[in-house]
Amino acid sequence: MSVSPLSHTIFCVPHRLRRLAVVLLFVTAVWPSLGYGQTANGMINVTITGSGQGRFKMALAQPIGGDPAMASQLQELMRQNLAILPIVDLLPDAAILGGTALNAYQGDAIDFHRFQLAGANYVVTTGWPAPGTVELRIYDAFSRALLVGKQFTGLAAATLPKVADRFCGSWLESLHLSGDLFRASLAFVAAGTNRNVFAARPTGRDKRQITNLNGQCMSPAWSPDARSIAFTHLSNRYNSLGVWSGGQVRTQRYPGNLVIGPFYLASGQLVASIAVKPSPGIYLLGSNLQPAQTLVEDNSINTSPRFDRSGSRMVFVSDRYGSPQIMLRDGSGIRRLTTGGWNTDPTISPDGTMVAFTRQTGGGHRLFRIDLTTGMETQISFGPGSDEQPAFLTDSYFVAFTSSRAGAKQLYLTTKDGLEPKPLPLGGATFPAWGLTEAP
Amino acid sequence: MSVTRMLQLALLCALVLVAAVGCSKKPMTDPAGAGGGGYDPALDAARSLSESERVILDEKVYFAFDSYELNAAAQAVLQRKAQLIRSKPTLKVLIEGHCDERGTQEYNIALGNRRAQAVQRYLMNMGVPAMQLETISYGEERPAAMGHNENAWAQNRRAEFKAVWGAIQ
Repeated sequence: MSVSPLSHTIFCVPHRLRRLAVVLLFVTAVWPSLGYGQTANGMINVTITGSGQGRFKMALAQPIGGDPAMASQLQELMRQNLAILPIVDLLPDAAILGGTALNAYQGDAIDFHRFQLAGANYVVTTGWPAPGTVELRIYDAFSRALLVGKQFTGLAAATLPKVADRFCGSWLESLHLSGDLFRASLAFVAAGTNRNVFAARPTGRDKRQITNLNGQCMSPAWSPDARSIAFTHLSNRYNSLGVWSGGQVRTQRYPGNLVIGPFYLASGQLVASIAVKPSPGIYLLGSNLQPAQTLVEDNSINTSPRFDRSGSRMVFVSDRYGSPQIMLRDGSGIRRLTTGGWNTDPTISPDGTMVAFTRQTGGGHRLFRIDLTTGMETQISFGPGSDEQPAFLTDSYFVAFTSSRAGAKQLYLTTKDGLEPKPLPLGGATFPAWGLTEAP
Repeated sequence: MSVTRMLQLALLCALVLVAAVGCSKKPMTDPAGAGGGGYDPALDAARSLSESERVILDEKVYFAFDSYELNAAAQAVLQRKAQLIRSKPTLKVLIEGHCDERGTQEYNIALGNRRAQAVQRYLMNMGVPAMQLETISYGEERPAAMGHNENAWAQNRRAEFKAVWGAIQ
């Protein structure tokens, strides 16, 4: 499979300025690469990473040409990818008066009026100009400007998931986000009598069972190269650390029979909370999985260590002030980030600028975020039920978490700003952990 | 052969069969002992618990929210347990710390550990040898009562006790 851009420029249009933080940069379209004759337009560059933004309404036009089975499969894959994005409201076909079948998939020949009437901000078109070749485009429904266009050639049914992932990733990149969401997999603990670790794409694709153990697995964490997953395991008598790698699981018990929340540093070293002394402290582990360096140790509970990408900032939970609070350890020492209530499950954004965590409220647990630069705290989830275990994606923008809002616990995807979460189709699940399982 | 004679023979066969089954089950209950040269009646007697002893061992200890403090009722329960465990030198007890669902899972593992350790400390202060005690925390993973109300939560904030006859590792 090869891929060619149908445009060398990112074209974004300010259609929702009232809620978007917008960076305007007028650029000139470049459209000669494949000879499609598109005229240049005045274009605007939009960033979506501002707070308070709303959702884009998006419509998928029916594919034109190509093998019906492959066209239908790619359409479904695109739908699955877009459906998990909190920044997208995918319009049902029935919402488009006149339907989503078009006469053309590019340029002025597209009838944008029907999409405008339905309130769509964006229209995705798919054309199959030759066998095994597909062209995907995203247009602004009102200005008719092309935002992203890509051509993929040499396709077979097996490569279509990658086409959908790469195109959707390119669209996110055009919004000044990262395409990591479509290069990542989630490790999680599946519901069941024995709770084992599974891994899957956030869309539910490529779901595979990682462990097959009696008892309960908890807190999976990917290694930086996404080839290993560390987790903790509870059997009828022992609490142990497990490391899955190359299809094998290695387990390690500790004298205090307590190990919680393992986490991999970018260097590949493991950190975990272990009861070396009566109360659990936080330790850097050696290759033999034994504590090699003390990071936090006192008479209080210290658990749930998580690091930023650089490894210089660690957040963790401590009850040294009575109730569990979120703490930050960096070059200047240890400081308290939360001041009241019951706060647990911290995660720090990989860029080291934000911390998300779980706070117990009268209505259940809710997710909050602290900006480490300003210290400002923002609630980013609102239930119902309990929202727990936030996990920042590598892009520091999307946040997966566990929620009981629909009854049984399952995983959801929101953003750092708390956009209305989208459920991830992974079944009953807890403990989401991101790993980049595909190279950019 | 008279009917009485036949009944006597049948009864004898049944007794032999029951005895054989009973004997064959004994070693199965003690795999550790089997390795030492066969069934050890003295060890089996030392390990067996009477009904009243089981009741004492099964008694649970309950805690307040986010607390590992042992109240008067918990201490009374533990005093009875201490007496039992001291009287059974081969009895080893696994102390399980549990929490209600209101916490979060990782922190509750740590809190459950605190509860199990508080119980362990109390029993040791009552003269129970450390070698007879083990701890584990299940956090909120193994609730005793289902439900999302104070009644269920109160039943789930607990320590449970299991006889572990194998060697402590």
